[in-house]
Amino acid sequence: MNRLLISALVLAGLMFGGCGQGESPQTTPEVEASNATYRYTDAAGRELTIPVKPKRIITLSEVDLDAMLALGVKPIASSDGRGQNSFPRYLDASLTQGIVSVGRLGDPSLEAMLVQQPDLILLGGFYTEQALEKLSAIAPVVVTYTMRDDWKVSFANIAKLLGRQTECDAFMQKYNAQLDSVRKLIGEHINDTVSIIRWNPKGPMFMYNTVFASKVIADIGLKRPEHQDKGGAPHSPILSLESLDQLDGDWIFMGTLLTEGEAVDQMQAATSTPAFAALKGVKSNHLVAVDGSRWTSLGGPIAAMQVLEDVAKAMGHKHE
Amino acid sequence: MRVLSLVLSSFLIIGLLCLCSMLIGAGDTSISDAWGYLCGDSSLRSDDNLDMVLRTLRWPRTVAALVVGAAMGIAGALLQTVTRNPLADTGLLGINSGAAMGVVIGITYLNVSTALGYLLWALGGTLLGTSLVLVVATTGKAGVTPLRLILAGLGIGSTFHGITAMILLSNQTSYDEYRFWVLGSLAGVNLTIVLQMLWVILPGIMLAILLIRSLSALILGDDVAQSLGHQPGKIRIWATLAVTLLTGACVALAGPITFLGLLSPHVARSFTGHRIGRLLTFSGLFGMIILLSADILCRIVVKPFETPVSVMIAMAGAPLLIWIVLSNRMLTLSHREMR
Repeated sequence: MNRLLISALVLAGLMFGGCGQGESPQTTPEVEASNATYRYTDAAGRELTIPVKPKRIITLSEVDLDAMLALGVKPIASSDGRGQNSFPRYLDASLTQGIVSVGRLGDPSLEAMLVQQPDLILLGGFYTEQALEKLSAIAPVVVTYTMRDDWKVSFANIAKLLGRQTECDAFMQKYNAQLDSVRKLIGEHINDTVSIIRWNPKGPMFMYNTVFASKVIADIGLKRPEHQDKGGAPHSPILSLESLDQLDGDWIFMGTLLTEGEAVDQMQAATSTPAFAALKGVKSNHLVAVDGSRWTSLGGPIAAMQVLEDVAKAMGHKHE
Repeated sequence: MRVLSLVLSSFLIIGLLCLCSMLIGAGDTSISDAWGYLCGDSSLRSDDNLDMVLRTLRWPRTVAALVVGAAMGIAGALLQTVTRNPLADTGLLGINSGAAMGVVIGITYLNVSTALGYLLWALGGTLLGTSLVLVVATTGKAGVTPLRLILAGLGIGSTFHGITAMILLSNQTSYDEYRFWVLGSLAGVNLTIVLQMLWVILPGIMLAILLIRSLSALILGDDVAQSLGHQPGKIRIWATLAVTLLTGACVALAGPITFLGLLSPHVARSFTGHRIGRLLTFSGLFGMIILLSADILCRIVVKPFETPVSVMIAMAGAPLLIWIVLSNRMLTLSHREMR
């Protein structure tokens, strides 16, 4: 009995050993050619060994996805946009075509990620040590930016990581040129104040100046109403309907997380509230419905360009 | 005599609170301006902003607080009596979870985003919830006992809760909208809709009044009630119906404010004892007082923003409940064991 067991073990050992020996010479050269690695320090200050030329990248935040697309690189997979069941709605379907969804932002499916066999994972913004540990078992995880960084810093970090500095510079030039043309288009409205709000049947909220779209607005040179020109939380608590004057501005941009048709419903709900209809921005017909996926959420370079377009469309047309 | 003075003082307090509710707000409108407007000062009456604040914002929510407070108080008292359970609140019969599920389905699949849309879906969900509870509780030969009613409510409620959670989990946009509804608030209520809801609430109150005699018998236990010629099962069905009408309309108007339904009957009982007629009356009155005060507090604490009223009731109401317990004012619901 014992002898049988031992011989079986030996046999098994030989088989596995043989397999290992047989395979290793085939794989080694390939590994060295394409998987050259280097040491990299990410935004969280972690030192990592990552591939020089990553081919299969998964992005786990909307800014990572946005930035990569802006640089002309397609990740193989990505998590969905904030509060959405798909990639950020503002990204055109043609841009994200072929990219696989690995689930919700902040809670991606590890199995779906494993199937993709990534060689690099980009995770910007919010993360936990536990999440990093789990994800690192799949592929090296780079924290591309921290919660404090704005989209430009994030964009630059990602460009550097992917070795796409020229594309990044070109995009930023385009952005700056667009800023100039928007300034020209809106003319004397440049001194106007821009209020960014969200509506809700129980009461509205306004966005503070640290939120993504606010920074683009600041880049143009437009001002925010006094109450909204503060940092801290992304948006205010629910405002009393008696204090709607805090929503007022020369222009009011109302972001909605629902689709276009619903945006109109929400506009109607808001304007049928007498206190809201009495606002200066509403009375002068300067109330603009915009896609909340870029205005009251987070976004990267592509979203920034679209915010500029929205501003030009709303404030430029009326000027002419 | 004591009861009469209690009723009178309740009404006095409610009157004063109504006045406060009209005078105090989260905005910049000064109390003296609001007072002047109420007194009929012609220059202030013609102030558009003041007119808007008092007429379209403060008056509707004051009326809504009275209506919802009374209805929730009475519903809570009915439910605690009928289930012989001092822990019963209006969330017990699957009413809140039904309303929540209705609202979430509305938001998710039909993109409902207006106050009226929320209201209709909440009402629909409520009706579905309690009718299922009644069907489950009445099936079988044993008749509607408190335990069956509670268990059916708990079961249906949990199921609805699960469905709601499932929809929300896979749909974050809905969650974003839902999280405001679920906190409950009287802000932005529309007076016409409040008045229309009276068509649902008043029959509920009428039904409660008609049930007073039967409920008094029911307190003595099912056996005694039966020997007095009442049918406990039927009483419970009618009472459940009344509770549905009352809470359904309230949840639709203001979102789930469950704690109120638990609190006001206990406060009422500590003053009036067990007599059903008095219990219902004072539960309604105290419901008004509690909700109105909470709603006024909501506007002051984080001015110019607002705290959801359900949060305020829970924060201010819990100490009140604990005080009742500590001061030995808590009375048992029934002299007999619950079976």
